[in-house]
Amino acid sequence: MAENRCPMCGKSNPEEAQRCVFCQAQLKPLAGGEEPQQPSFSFSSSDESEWLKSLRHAVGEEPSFSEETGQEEPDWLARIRQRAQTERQSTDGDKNQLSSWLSDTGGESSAAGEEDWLNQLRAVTSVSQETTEEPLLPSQEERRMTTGELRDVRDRLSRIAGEPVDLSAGVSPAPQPSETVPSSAEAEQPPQAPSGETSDLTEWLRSLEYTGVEQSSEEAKFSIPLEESTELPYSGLAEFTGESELGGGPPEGEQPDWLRAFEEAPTAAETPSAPMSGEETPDWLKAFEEAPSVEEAPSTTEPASAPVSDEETPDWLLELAQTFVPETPGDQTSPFVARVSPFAEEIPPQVEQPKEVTASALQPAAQPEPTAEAALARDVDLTDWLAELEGEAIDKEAISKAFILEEEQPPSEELPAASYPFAGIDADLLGAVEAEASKEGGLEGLAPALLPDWLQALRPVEAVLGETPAASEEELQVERAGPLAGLRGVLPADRLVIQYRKPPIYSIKLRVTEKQQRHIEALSDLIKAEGKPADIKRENLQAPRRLLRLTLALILVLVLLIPLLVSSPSLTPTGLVPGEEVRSFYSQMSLMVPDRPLLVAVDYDAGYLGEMRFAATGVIENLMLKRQRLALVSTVPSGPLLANDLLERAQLKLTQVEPAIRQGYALPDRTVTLGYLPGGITSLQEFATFPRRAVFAGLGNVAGEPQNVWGHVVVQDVHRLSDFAGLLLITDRVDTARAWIEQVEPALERRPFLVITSAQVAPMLTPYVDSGQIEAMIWGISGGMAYEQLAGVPPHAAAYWNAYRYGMYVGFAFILSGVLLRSITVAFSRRRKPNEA
Amino acid sequence: MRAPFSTALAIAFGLVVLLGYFIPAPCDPANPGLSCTFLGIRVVFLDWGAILAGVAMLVGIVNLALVHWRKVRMAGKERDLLSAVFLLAFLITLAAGFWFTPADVRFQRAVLSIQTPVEISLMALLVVTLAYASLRLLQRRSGLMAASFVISALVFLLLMSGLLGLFQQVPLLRELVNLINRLPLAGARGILLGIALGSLTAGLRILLGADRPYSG
Amino acid sequence: MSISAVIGLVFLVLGVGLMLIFFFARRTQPARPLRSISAFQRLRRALGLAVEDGKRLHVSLGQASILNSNGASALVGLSTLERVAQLSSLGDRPPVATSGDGTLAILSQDTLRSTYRRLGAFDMYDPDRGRLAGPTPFAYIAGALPVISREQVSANLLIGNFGPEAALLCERAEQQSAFTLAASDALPAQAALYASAQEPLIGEELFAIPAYMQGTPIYQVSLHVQDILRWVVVGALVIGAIFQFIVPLLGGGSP
Repeated sequence: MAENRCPMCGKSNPEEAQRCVFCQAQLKPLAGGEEPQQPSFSFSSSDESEWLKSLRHAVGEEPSFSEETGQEEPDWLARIRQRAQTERQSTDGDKNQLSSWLSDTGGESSAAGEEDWLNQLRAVTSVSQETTEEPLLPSQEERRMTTGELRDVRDRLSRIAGEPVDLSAGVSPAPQPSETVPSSAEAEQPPQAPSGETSDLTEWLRSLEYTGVEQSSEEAKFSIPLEESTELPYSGLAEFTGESELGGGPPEGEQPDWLRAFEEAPTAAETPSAPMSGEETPDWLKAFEEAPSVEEAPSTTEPASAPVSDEETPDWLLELAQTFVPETPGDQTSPFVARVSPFAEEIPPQVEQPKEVTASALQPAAQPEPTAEAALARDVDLTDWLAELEGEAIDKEAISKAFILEEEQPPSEELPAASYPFAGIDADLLGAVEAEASKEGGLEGLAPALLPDWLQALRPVEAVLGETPAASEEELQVERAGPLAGLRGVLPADRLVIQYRKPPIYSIKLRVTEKQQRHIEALSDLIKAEGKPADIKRENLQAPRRLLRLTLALILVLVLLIPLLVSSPSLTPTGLVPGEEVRSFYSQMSLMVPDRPLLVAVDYDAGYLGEMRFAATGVIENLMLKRQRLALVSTVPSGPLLANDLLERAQLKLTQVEPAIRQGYALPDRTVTLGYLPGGITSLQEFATFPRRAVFAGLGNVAGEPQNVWGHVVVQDVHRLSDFAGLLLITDRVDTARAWIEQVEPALERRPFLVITSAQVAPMLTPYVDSGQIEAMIWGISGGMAYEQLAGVPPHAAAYWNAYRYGMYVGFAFILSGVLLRSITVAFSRRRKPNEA
Repeated sequence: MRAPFSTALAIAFGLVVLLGYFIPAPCDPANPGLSCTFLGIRVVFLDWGAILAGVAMLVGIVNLALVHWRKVRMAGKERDLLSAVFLLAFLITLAAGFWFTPADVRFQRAVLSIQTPVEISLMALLVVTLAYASLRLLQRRSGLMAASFVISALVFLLLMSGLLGLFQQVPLLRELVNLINRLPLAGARGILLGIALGSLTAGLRILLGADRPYSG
Repeated sequence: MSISAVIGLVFLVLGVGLMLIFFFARRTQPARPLRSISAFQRLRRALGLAVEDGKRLHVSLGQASILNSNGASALVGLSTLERVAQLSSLGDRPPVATSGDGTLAILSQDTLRSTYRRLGAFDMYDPDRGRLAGPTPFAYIAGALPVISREQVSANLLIGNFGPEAALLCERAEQQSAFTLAASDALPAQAALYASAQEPLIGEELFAIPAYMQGTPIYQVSLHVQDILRWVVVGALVIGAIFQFIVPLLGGGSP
């Protein structure tokens, strides 16, 4: 099926739909002068009772309302409105809202006619509307209907039922001057409607007031108190309801035949209603006859869609007759019953008494049953368009819930108006009216209106409300005095006064506990910290470091190399004055007995070779010149190698000065390498005690054979350490020196213990010098060069001394520049901080 | 107790050696006495210790060679080709030592020709490192100790360079220079005392069995 | 017995007695709080960061043999290695220990093995993690430098007997942006490390490392004894200095 998209809401509609079933917007644009297509099921206004038309119009003015507001309505409501609109459009409107719908005999009504009476109705309601703040429901006053007015309504209805009503006769204009509610039948004045009747009908309709009895929220929809009414919010219907005498009812004698027929023949609804005898069939009835197919539309919620034939009462009417049987035998004041009364003649006697339709039937059982008249006078359940006329917001949702149609029903399907003669007429309304009538007891003898099955099926009250609790006793109480007299569900003032108390004054100051305050502070700190940019620690770049390191190395190399290249080796070192320690050392060396070998311990590493060579070479040269025999031992693995290297370098140097030194001092004859003491300084204890046990193999011979070094001529007479002339320790370590001092020195038995060490160790060994454990000590290049000066050996360290001095100056400069750089940095940072502050 | 046997053994050997230190060392072979006994025992223990130290050194060297061997055999980024150079040099030196013997002058010169420059180069690198460190010393550290360190370094650099040597001719200045030369000795003595006391307590922990660096 | 031997014996007996007294008295008295040393705080943080970063720690034990008089620093290094192995057992990379002595290398392997066995993580033990870096000081430095630069080391602990050449290790660690804590019993090394290491320990702070890293009472007790003995030495020095000053004034000869 092709979809027809609504331009307003965008929802899909059936292809043949003219109006959107959701928002009632025009689906297909109208040509100039073209009027909206009227539903096919229209009946002539002349044949339709005015009151019936007015009911239809009153209920059927939904499309304009919905069109104006453009609000999305439920499907069921849209369908109802559509149907109502079509019905309305089929009848002629009367500018006078009452007269229009009463006199409307045809089904052809124009939109203008509809709008006229609707406007009239609105005008009436706007005048009659009090400034209340009840958005949903009209005021109680507005809903109130007098008994007399209800009686009038009933009279009207009975007259309509008893006489061939010329529906074409218009209804007299409503007494309210502010009527602006257009009537659907306004455009088509029913010509044959008796003016008197119309005026009466209009009058009673106008006099109807919708006074909702506030029994409960639900019941308020249905109950209409039969009180004195002031103004009618829905003037058109008010007249109708007024004439229907809600709350009261016509005397029993004056009960319309149609209404009486409902009472006598409760089952009459099941039988086809007889056509109106000898009377002109209203157009709308004719429409039912003409369009039987339309009545057979698959409307599960509106089963009363049977076509009305001239010969038989429409099924819907029968059902309606069944439905609107008054509750009580004497209660025949239901206007709805009166409404259907014109067709009572058509209802065969065997028509079953329609079921009682009261508000209680619609409501849960505990609720009171409003009369039909009260139901008529209800505002909310009539239509929301009536509420719109009144200018009051109504609970559309509540209404929509009450009229929820089944989804199977195509909403856009146009059903003949005859199928829904009472379309828009809320059964709840009828029930409320009835209940009200029964409550007030105004309508005597009227059977309570019974809702047809189809209408009952429509009513979702039971489904939605379910087991709505019965209204409390309090709500059921009828107010006896005051302006709200006659209303139900009025809040008892006494209780309110008792219950009323001064509302507690709550301090706006938030009570925060300490724990919460701590949490707040912690959370706020966290949030603030999130916004703060994290201090990114600046990474130290490696490239500048390497560059600086390279620069420093280059400077050092140049400073050390240039003096070596420029200076003469024989240059006397300047600034080098032999100190006391050097002189003492020299004197000790001079006292050395040459016939005894001197034990020389070479305990320095190859890395310190440069410094130790400069420090010890002069001493060795002096010993060689003195022809001193030397026995070398070491506690480091590379010691013997370094010892031999020391001897060879010293001899080589002496050869430059004294070439005969090689022959005079042959190293293999004058020196012996005892080797490496296994275990390092651990073996010093043993060496000190048993030197021949501590070391005996030496480095061996060239053939790799172990050799007893103690058989060498140099040490062949040595059995203890005291047999040596003394001990000369050449070391660059404090631990080694300390070990030799602590382990070996006692075994020397006052033999001189001399130490040649590096500059870094000398301060730690000075106490031993002061204590006498070390006879004398020289250290570093300066000590060696000073000794060379004293001993008169060839000074080969002068050039190196200058390089050494300049290197010291460069080191001094480096440290000083670091200090200056730091001072400048600190000064600038301090300046920057106050500026930033 | 963890490793009770090892602990007992360590305590026993330590006490013997310690007692031998306090017992007078001179031992008359004609009249040995207790001193000779303790001395003999101590000497034996020391011999064993020396042997173990030598063997440990050998084991350590073998372990070092194996570590470098595994590094050479590793795959990917962890492979170190310099370990191959090490192994090559090690094997060559080992072979030469066995062939030429350590008494051979040529072998000695070969070893010294390689070892001496390498270690002296490292020493030279140390000089540059210390120079760079001294340049950034105050940036790295602050406070009285850093300031005194820097000042003392500057003073002794001047003293060691012989710049103040001329002042030593003047008696007063000579005394002053001598005083300055002796200032670091007091601090050094204090540090050495503290280290000695720490070593004492560490040794006592071993003797008491409270500290067991051996698992047993 | 010489006077020096007597004095040594006095200190020995005093040290043993105080250690036993304080050790048993600690059971009833609360432990004395140790003064805060920033080096250990940074060390603790560096240990955690190393585990988190998936890197290892490098413990350098120095070149002193336990047979030597400066072997006490090696014992401190071994106890530190044990603690580091415990703390870094959660990490991916086990620590590596380098030493300059054969006995120290064997003991470092033994310490790692016993620690992992006690932790039940014997599969983490690798004999190569406790190695001899070099027999001589500079060879030891040359063998330890590649460990710092190539084996994902984030923190270096130089605890033991070092020479001033240890500054080369500190410089390499700084180039690798690694943390360095250095402690040596040699004065020249302390001077060099003061200028080059991030966290140097001066003097006898080396022997306080086990007390700060391990909660064993014996270490804290020995630290306490060490403090008492220091005061004894200070007192003896002061008394001796006074005596040396007073005696000449009183007309007595120099002792």
